[in-house]
Amino acid sequence: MARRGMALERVGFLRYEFSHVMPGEYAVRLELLKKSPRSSHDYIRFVESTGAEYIGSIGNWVYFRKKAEHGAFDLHSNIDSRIRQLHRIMAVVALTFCASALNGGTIIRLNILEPNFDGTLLLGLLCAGLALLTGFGFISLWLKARRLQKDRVIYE
Amino acid sequence: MSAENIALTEAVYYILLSLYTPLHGYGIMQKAEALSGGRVVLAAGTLYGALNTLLDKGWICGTARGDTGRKKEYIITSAGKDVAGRELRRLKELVFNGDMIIGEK
Repeated sequence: MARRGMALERVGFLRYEFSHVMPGEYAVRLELLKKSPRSSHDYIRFVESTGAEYIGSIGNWVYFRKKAEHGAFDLHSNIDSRIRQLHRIMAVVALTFCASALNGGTIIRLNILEPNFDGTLLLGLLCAGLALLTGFGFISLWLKARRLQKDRVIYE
Repeated sequence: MSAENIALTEAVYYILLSLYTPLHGYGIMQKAEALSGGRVVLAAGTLYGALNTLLDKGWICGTARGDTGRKKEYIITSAGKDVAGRELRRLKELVFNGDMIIGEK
């Protein structure tokens, strides 16, 4: 979005506000914190001190942006910190997968086995669909983390 | 393996070198990039984690001036200087052996 000239201004629950800017004027980065943003105040202030702007947070997901004219913007530059970040995201995705698969599987099974079951099959199918998406997402993240771990033997 | 034989990462080595004079986070990023000719770019998240680890090890400390200001400053300690000195000797050994065998001298 930022590359196309829409800079993220504010985030909230189910809400993202953008403003029109020059394409590529901003780089936006997203990070999943180990602790809540309130407990990570020190870290957020540190990132801001490097020239980035803190946009906001949703849960433990925090958004930063930095003007491209101030240089490249990454939050993790070495393999170890990238692997740690991936593992954190994988834990969230795995939890979502398990919850969706369990709910979806249960609702679909009950719809098939129990004629008097009053549950909505559609809800079960949506949960199963979400489980499929998060399952693929987890595998993709796992493969990325594995590649980085292999590289770690050779590189920093 | 003793701590003396463990190699530092390039990022940590440049952080220690940068902190022979007091600097804040952004200053460390700029100095490391300048010293390495643009090759070593420290991202904020990686640098934050490394600084906390170096503080825990006692290789760097916060400065009194940095405590009251908006940007926290750090400086290398004598323990950090010992580590940096050992790393420099290790790197010199690597270069010496590399020159001897690869023969690019």
